[in-house]
Amino acid sequence: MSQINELKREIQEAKKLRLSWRTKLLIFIVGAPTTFLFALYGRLEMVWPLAITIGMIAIVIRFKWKLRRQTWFWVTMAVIAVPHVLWVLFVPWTTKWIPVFVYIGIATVDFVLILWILLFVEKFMGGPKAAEK
Amino acid sequence: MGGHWGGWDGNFGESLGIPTGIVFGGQNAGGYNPCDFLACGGVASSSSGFLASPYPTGEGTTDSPYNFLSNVFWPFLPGVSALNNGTPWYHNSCIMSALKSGGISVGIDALGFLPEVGGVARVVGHQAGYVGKVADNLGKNMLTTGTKTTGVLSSATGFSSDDWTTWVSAGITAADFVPLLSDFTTPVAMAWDTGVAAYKVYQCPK
Repeated sequence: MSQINELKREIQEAKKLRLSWRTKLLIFIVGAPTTFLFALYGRLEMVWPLAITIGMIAIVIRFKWKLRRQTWFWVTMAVIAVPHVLWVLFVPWTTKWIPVFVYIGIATVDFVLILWILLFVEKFMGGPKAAEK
Repeated sequence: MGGHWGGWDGNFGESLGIPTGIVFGGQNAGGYNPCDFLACGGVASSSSGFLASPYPTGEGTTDSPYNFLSNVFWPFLPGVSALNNGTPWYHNSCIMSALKSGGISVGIDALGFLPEVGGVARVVGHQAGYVGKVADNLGKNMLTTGTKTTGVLSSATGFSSDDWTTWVSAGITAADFVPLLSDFTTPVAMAWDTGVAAYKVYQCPK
């Protein structure tokens, strides 16, 4: 199966997943005071890149949990995390309000990109069957 | 006391709304120099790094009254309670403005919870009497056209419509793409709005 078709299949799988209301509430309860503290210390512009970085990496790890016993999976995730950290620290982001739909778009691009990299490495490391060993 | 420390701001009593002509401190006012109470220690600093001396200028005479930093909290001084002037928080225009803008932002961002199976676009499309994919496409067109012509969201955000209506349209499509991501992003956006509103309230003069 080509990598594009594999990616499409993965996205179809991801479409079936939802966050529970409890998780959404937890994100809000942790996020609001965190935002306040970042604003208090003059680093409000870091909140969104940080949230998207943590969120997307966490979602992908949860989504690909079947690969947790593969060393290459964790190494790949660590490598993926590096440009994210650089993005958080060095790319200037606005402190103005932007509609959530914009962030959903950015999160989607990030999510698909991470999935694509993982699929590429997975294929290189021995295909999907590697996860089932 | 919230907010930034400022610089010298003229006569302390005057800045608090206390009738001018009242002179604090020294022999004229019976000893209200804050340093007499050993409570002026330390240096008030601003976020910009400016260091403001807590010591008043002037000599405490009628001709040369003490001038205090107006926004450093000295609770032992008479009239400091005039800072809030007895105004309840819900009559404080700064607080109400911060809460209002926060509420609008949270309300708009809460729409991110809607994009399930067609999302906001489908809801709008349904209102026009269409179903399925037709409703999605019609809804998307109505949303982007609507935001461009009415500028409803623009006025709420202060952005030019042209800057981001295309993003809104793309975002609506993306939200329908993987609902899990809007499930995550929407509470983050609402938390951001709430945190920023809380910070603006914190910055308001009490």
